[in-house]
Amino acid sequence: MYNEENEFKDDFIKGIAKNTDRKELSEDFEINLMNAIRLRSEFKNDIASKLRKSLYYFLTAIVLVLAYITITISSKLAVDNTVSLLSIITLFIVIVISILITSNYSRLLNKSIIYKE
Amino acid sequence: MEDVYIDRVISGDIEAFSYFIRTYKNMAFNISYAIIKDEQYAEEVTQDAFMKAFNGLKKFNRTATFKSWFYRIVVNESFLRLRTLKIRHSIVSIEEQEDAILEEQIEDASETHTEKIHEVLSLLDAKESLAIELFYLQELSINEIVVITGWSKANIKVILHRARKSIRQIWKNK
Repeated sequence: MYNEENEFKDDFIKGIAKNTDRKELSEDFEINLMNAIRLRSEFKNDIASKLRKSLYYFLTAIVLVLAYITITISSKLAVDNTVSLLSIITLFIVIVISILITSNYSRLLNKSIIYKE
Repeated sequence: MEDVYIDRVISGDIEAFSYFIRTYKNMAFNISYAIIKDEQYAEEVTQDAFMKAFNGLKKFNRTATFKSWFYRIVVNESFLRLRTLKIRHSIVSIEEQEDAILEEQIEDASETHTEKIHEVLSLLDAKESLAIELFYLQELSINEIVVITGWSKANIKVILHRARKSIRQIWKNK
């Protein structure tokens, strides 16, 4: 059966290649690399936890603002039976901004772009 | 076996990654050295490749072996570094190689056999050197080399033919 590897069987070349000094990395390489990985990992966890905390505070603030605007609009509706255009625009803008910033947070947390050098 | 370590690393056990460093550090270093031909840069590239592998382990879909996936990272990083360094291995012509060898023959007549072999391999261009490293030293199949380098089968065969021819020619002239 044809074996394409046989086509390149070459004892002369193999002999030359095998006689080359194989380079070896020192034990320190592993130690240093593991230290770097540990540091990076700690940094990553630290940033991720700060981001989560920040996202939590941001969402709380947004919920409070939305609640405030909704209560204001509904109380105005109860008294005057009308809603000002400004209130509607404010509500709309707050919702859009909150969606944008929340998606940005989740992008940071999920795609780990903060870990890049 | 490796799947167990991969799962451990993904689940947060950083120390499990040292298994991969221990297993592949020298082979990765030799692959990188075959391309860059500079020990210091090859070591840096090996380190970067391990970092990339660690950060991207979650994305490793296990259709190929960890070894192929990781070697591909090493190869890509090495060529990237080679481009950055603008090392001119790939543009040294056979004639220039022969001239260099002749000059060194005059300078150093007491060269040992191992040194001579080392020198012959160091005169190959990055792709040829990588092909020799993967096929003859790491004893990988052509299919594995396809996965690692991203070159086509036909291209690998051409590079291997050319590398063998270059080695014979350089060796003959020494």
